[in-house]
Amino acid sequence: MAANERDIADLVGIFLPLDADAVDSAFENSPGIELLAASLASFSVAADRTVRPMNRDEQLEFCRQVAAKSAGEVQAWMVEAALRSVEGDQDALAGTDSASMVTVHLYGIVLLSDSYLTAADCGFLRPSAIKLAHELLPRLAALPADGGCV
Amino acid sequence: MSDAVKQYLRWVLGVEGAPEVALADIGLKTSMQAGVAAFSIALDRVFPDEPSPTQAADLIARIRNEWVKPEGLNPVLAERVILNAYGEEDLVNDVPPAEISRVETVITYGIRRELGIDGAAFESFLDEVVEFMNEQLND
Repeated sequence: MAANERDIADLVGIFLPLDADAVDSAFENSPGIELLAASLASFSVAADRTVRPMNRDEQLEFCRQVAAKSAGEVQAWMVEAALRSVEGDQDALAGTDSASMVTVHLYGIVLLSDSYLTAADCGFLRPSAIKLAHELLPRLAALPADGGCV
Repeated sequence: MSDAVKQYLRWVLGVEGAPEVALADIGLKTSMQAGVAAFSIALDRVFPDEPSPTQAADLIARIRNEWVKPEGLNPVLAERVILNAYGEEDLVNDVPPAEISRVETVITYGIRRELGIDGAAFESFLDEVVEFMNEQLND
């Protein structure tokens, strides 16, 4: 599946700011690597801006809140693992599966969007998310189809 | 019961030549109690006082590098399981008990290898675990 510039920009646009209906229908209709790249990139840049500056207690609380949003689908440590992976910790995702991590990114974006990011923040973050999504595409394309970690 | 517990721990903690013990032989509840007791005693050997998050992370990094399959021990979850044992609450309360128990056992195995608790030293470790379990029962 060839990635095109327009797709990636449009897909990032449904996460920053979050358009829940558009995300639902994107996952139903075209759950390709462009969508995964867009969601991971949006989560990464948003977390980098909002969660990274927090102290440890605040970060733990953020993880708990994402888990609570997911109503049991996501456990708090998985959120911490996703955050640490975003910060470059190569081991943080060991033993996790990529489907769970996509779920973490989505609930993370839901919470960030509800409670942390303004519309102006989203506009500011979008270009970096689009750039990052393009960088992530080849790495995602290289993953085995049945799992693996980003 | 203490002999069954010791047999079980020799097996799950990878003592060379230990005969296999099926979970059904000891029971799920006892196996989890034995696991958490062994974990407490092992942790106390490494960290008599509550470790900082960095110290917990360093221990897990050594265990994952040297003694266990890295894919079998997620470092983030493992660090939380350690800190939770020292009373930092709500770190793993959303993780299924069986998964916590598995992680505790993997860490205990790693500590045993890291500290070289073998032979007579391992037998006295087991005595301590059984004593700990008896104290818990009497509380």
